[in-house]
Amino acid sequence: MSHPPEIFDIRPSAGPPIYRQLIDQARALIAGGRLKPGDYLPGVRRVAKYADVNPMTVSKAYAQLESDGVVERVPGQGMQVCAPRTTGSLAQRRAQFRAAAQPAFHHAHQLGLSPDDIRRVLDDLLKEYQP
Amino acid sequence: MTTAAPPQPLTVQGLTKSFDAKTVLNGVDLVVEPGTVLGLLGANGSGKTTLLKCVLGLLRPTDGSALVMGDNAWDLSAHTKASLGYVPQEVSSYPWMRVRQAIDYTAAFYPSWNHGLVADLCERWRLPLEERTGVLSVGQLQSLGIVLALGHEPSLLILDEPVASLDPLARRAFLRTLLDILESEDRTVIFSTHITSDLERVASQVAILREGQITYHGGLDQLKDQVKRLRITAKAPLPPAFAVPGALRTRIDGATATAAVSAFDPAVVDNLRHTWDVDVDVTDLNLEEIFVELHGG
Amino acid sequence: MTPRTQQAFNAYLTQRWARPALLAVGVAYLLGMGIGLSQSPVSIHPPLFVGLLGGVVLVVAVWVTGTAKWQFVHPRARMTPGFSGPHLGAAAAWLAVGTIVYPLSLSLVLTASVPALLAYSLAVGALQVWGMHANRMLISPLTIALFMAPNVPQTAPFWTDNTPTLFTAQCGLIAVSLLALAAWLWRLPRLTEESGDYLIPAHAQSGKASRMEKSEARRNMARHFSRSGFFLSVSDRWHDPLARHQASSTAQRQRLLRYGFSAAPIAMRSLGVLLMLLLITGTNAAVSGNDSPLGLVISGIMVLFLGASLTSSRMAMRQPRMQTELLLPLSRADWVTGLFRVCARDTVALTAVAGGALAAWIFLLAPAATDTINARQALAFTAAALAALVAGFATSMQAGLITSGIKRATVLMLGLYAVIVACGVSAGLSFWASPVYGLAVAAALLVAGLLLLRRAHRNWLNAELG
Repeated sequence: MSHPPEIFDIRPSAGPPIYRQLIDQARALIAGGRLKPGDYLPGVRRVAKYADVNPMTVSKAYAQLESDGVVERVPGQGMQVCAPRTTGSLAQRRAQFRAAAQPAFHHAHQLGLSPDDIRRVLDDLLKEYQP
Repeated sequence: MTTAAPPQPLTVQGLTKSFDAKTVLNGVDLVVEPGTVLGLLGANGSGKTTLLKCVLGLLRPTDGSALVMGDNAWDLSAHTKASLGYVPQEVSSYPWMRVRQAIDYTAAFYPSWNHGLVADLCERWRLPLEERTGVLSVGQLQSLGIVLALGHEPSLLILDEPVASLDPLARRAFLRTLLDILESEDRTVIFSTHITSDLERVASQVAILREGQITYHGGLDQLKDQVKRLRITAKAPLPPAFAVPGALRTRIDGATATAAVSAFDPAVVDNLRHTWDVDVDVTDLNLEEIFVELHGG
Repeated sequence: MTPRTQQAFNAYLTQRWARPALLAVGVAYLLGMGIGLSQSPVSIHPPLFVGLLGGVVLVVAVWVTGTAKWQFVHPRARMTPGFSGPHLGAAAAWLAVGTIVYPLSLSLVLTASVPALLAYSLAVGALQVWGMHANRMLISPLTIALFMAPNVPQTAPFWTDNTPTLFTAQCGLIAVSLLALAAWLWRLPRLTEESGDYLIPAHAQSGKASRMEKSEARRNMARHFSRSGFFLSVSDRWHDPLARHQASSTAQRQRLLRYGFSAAPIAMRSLGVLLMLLLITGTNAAVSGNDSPLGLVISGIMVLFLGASLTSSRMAMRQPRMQTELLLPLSRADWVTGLFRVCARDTVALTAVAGGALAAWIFLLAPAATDTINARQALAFTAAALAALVAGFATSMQAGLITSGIKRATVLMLGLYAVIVACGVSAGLSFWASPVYGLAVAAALLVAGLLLLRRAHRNWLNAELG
């Protein structure tokens, strides 16, 4: 499935460079399930036109994603989201997930939730996620 | 016939320009590769306009050289000028001519002119074709200047504050036009502007002119990766001896401090964390903030 | 004097040359008065009237009108509280010095009556002020006519005789002129942007004008152009064919440069000059019984001056556009040559028209004037005239580099006087000595002119027009 350029929210005058915003957002979309493996990223030109930015910046972001193995170029079609890598030891993958989860925990702590509240939320999430 | 590579759009070496006793440009070095969109940034009076005028043969350098597509800037050939477009800071047209006549007049000089593009741009910018250019507002004149510079589809486009007098709608329309042009051909664009938000959208490279010299010339993204703001939070008030290595400026306020660095290095930040036992938060800066920090905050 | 009034007075002296000039004039005046008072009153000769009084009044009127207009044709004149009082007072005071105080002082050393002197100075002053203010073509010839009136035998007695009827007439003229000047002072603070005379006489095209002044001057000029329907249709008819033009050679591009100077083509300008010429020679002939060659010579000189000042001011006024023109697909050398060629064609056309009119005048209406010269002298005269043309053209192109109107006028004036003197020497030699000497001087003038032309060309090539 191909997606419209609106999935990206680019702020040229924000701190991070545009290409990095795109990379971060693409990764976030994939991690959040909005972009599934097999989906196509919106075309470079469409994104550039929608966001009123230089197409070269978008190409740069896509090239970086490609070299990181997050997407792959399909001739004639565009950039396709790759299947998630299951390479890397369990410890490594756990470490990656821990890094992603830490901000959420910090946020929960700021909200004043007790460990029990957090566990309850986690159980709900796990139930929702397991099909 | 030698098969030489096509000449660089712009090569400036040691360019110096003085007006009587005042030196405005003090040894400027700049090389622009084809296909680059270069944003020239500088404070008021830093010499941006002088640099552009020296490059175009409107002012004569006191020392140094400038080559535009291989030609010496003071003696540009007709062939080079046919692929060169310039929008000055103050557009001056012939007050008695109607807008369409002024356009036709310029068009008559060039070997190739894209009438369709010009008509499209005039409509996009709502330029009144029947009005005399003398009664146009400053913004309309600037739009006219841009149209006249784009009509012959130059491969090197030089713009001096092209959108300073345009309202936000017109500015966005201009950016879109610029992006349209960029996507179709291998064009080189150099423009000086104060409006950093425009640069961030369009420019691939940035050159900062300060006190008559280029203090930074490189990718916009690299610049953003290099200049960062650090926010340091400690558990106890920081000692006055606290310093961030390589910082542009540091401000200590009890237990927090902010510093701006011009050559960000994660190792240095880690070192800082361990040495002083502090929390360091790294903030990305946009171009305007970078410019302010580099000029002393 | 309150600070405001003082400032208003000083506003007239802000130019760098103003104070030294005023000092020089003051010293000359005191010397002159000193000499004059120590002797018996000089009987009034018409040329004295014009020279001593008329010239001064014209200069004062131009200076005051230009400065006052500049002060009032600006939003600050309406916005600043208490602006009109001091500034009008200063304008009135400077005018009074030139048109009332000065003639009164002259009456002590000349035999002319006070009313005559005052009538002349006030009338010329009023006409010149209004002429400059309204920028109307009509007033100029009137001013010239009045200015020259004491020189003309028929009207000279009006100023020099002393009869009761003349006395009342002169007083009437004084009253009318004072009224006109008062009306001008009254009008100044009431100008609005929509008024027809909201124009800055000194078209602020020079680079030193601020951005706002330039944009206002541009707008005023465009409004000035929009007023005349005939003018506009001529301009359109000339410019519309550009849509179908496509220059395919350097020569064609150089020819295109003729469009950037003014709204109307050369032919129109020649027509204007011709009309002015006919007006002057016609008045001259009507006033004096026979045509002496002097009148024609004066007309020739006027053509030279007019053509040269037109050319040089057109080149100077084009300068703001040159920063874009330099980037048109023409090499710098070709562009400069192209401009020179266009101006040269313009000058030749103008001279041809004027010369033709003069020749027609001579041969049709006053063949007697040619009896005093033979063919060889005529040839020498023509050679001198051609040499003067080339040298005058070179001077005007060199002067065109100067953007400041006053500096340009001065340089042009000096250069053209030198040319005229040389031309006069040549003509004199041809007339009284031998045409061969005259031809030699003419040849020298031609060589000087060509050298100056080459220098002007080189100066334009090296000019920084950014």
